[in-house]
Amino acid sequence: MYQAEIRQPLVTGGKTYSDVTEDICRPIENKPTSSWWLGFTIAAICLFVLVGTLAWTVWEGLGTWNVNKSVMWGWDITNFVFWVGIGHAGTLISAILLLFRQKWRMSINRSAEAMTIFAVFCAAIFPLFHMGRVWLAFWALPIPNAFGSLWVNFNSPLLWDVFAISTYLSVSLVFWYLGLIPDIATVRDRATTKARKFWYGFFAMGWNGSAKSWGRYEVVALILAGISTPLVLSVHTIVSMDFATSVIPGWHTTIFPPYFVAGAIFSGFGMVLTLLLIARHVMNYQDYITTEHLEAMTKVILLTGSIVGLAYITEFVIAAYSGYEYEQYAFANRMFGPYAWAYWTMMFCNLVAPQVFWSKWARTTPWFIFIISIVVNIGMWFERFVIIVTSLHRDFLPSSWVMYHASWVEVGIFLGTFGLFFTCFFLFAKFLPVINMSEVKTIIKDKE
Amino acid sequence: MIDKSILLDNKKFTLGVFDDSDKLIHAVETLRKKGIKIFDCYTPFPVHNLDKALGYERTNLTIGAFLCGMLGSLSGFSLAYYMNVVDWPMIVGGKPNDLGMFTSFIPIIFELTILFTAFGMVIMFFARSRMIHGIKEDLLNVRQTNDKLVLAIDNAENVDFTNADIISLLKNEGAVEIQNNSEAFNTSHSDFSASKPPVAQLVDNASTITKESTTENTEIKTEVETKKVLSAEEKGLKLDLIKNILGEAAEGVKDDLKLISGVGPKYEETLNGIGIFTFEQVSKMTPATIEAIEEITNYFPGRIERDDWIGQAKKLMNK
Repeated sequence: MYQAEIRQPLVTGGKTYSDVTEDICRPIENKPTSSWWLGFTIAAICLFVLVGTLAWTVWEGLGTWNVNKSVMWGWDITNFVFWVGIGHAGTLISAILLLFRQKWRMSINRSAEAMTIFAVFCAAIFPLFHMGRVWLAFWALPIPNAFGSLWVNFNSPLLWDVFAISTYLSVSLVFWYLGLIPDIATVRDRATTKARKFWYGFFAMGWNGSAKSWGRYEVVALILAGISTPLVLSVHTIVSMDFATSVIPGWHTTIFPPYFVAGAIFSGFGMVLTLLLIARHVMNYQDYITTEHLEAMTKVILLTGSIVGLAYITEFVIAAYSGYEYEQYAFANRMFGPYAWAYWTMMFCNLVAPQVFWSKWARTTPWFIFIISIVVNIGMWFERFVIIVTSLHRDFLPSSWVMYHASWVEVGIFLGTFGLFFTCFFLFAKFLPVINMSEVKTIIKDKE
Repeated sequence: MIDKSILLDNKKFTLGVFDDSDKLIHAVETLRKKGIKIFDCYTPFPVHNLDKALGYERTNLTIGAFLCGMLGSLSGFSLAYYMNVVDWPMIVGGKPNDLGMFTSFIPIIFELTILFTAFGMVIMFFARSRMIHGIKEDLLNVRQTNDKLVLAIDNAENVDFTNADIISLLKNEGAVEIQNNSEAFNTSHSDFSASKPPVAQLVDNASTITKESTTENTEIKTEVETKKVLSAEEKGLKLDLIKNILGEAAEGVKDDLKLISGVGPKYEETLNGIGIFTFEQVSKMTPATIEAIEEITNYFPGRIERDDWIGQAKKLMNK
């Protein structure tokens, strides 16, 4: 195949097949470094905060949260949408970029998929505990219950969410695990301890890399990618319908599904960049996650950030043009009301900040990308906060207008989910190959 | 752990080990053109077009996946229809509670279609590839999941060809190692136990033939199989020859011979044992000494010349 000279190699450093194996198995086969221990300890402390605040919520009740009339959805649903959105980049990278034959995805897809799974774990916590009696969460499932055959209501987008999120989680897990099998087999065949030999052998399912298996494997991976693509779009579409189907000014718009999907990809890439920049630095993977990769991801951020920005403006114009006074008020209130600071933070972080990526310098300077990736994460959290809280805190009846501020328990749970997320990620980085070895071996001689 | 080796047990294989995917594909094409049947190939990564070269047909898993997807759609629809229309119709906000609800079912139908397709297909894939948790792997070469590509030929399928033919063909195609297992392959023999250091020893193995054999279906001795037992007298003569031509290293002078590609820690010791310590000595090798060294140390015939040790040693001397 012809390859233009200006294309950069996908993996630098002139790696051989065995170099790839050595480099990527190193963290698994050696004792964790001190930076790993430091990060893991901080994450584990935050995880304790999560356990503590959730236990307190269950013990004392939902009154420990500041959600109340008329802001029934506060930080919890904001965080739920935030985490689900973050998960989307993983599936996007591994599925959509596979369909588009983008080879640069290969050294980042493993960690991005891991991120998806951990983010969905974090997301699931919020609606479950928001139910109040978390031990009755199974009532959301379509099973006959003690009151006779009163079933779930299939008209409700909240029920669609139950199906969408659980399907998303399980399909992502399967996709991730399938991708891991050949690499687990590689670790198994290098194992020097009995325990490692046993456990990696157990999960490798007897993989031996035969050409017959690889042929089937590639077909299965392609089809999983093919069905994951509409799946990932459907998940955030359904999440957006939680809002869009309610008759609340600021929510009741048809623009929500595409706008939420673009926002999810935007925030997900923000988080992928944050994680990969840390991982690449700590684990010395600069040859695998090159500046080419960073540049490609920043371009996605630029594109989706602009789509999100366009959606903000469209939403505003439609509200102004609608002639519907409540809708107009909701948007005026967002911009100039008591939560204006949150609105302008969102506008700056999501619409203005990513525009720096028009510059080549910004796209190729890791420390700068890291800062912008954090800014994007903050901006996307505020987007959900603005949508939820500003629309709820002033309803149709001025006598019921309230202000909402999170309680320490809500803040603690949010902080705690970061603990859960990073604890999972650190364990993943210690026990599983962070980069897909078998795929990277196919591209070490290739260019972008 | 239970054994997986349904396919491989009691077969006698000739294995060509490659270090490059293009060479492997070329070898497969050449061998198949000659009419040699290839049992399978084992690679650490998916090799593009290898299945075509091997003549494998595309898997039917896609059809199975489609059927699973259809089953998922049907389940989604019947689940929602039974619950909300047949068994317990609910009127919410004056919305229809008959088939007019269908639009509300679409997300459910869609999600279950995806769920059933994904799980159904993956389960079928595992079943088809005989993969299950805890099964024991059937490896022909311990590096086939790391950096070596293995081409396996079942001797019983190729009775028209002598082993020597197959081996020389594989070597011409650039196999870096030939394994010719005279004993029937059995996974219980291939237990690469935990105590084996994975890298150092294997590098060494790669440069020596691991198993020599006399084949049953042919009397021809190939150069791979020659493992002449030298008499003490012959050995002494050869050592003298080596000493005369290469000269003796000065006392205490020793180069790191491992820097020459093809020399591992073990082989370095062997070389030291016959008085070869320096790059200078290696660079003076002549065809006669090379032959003598190969015979004394049972080294892979022709490898010293092919890897150009003399050239390598000259370069290393000048460093």
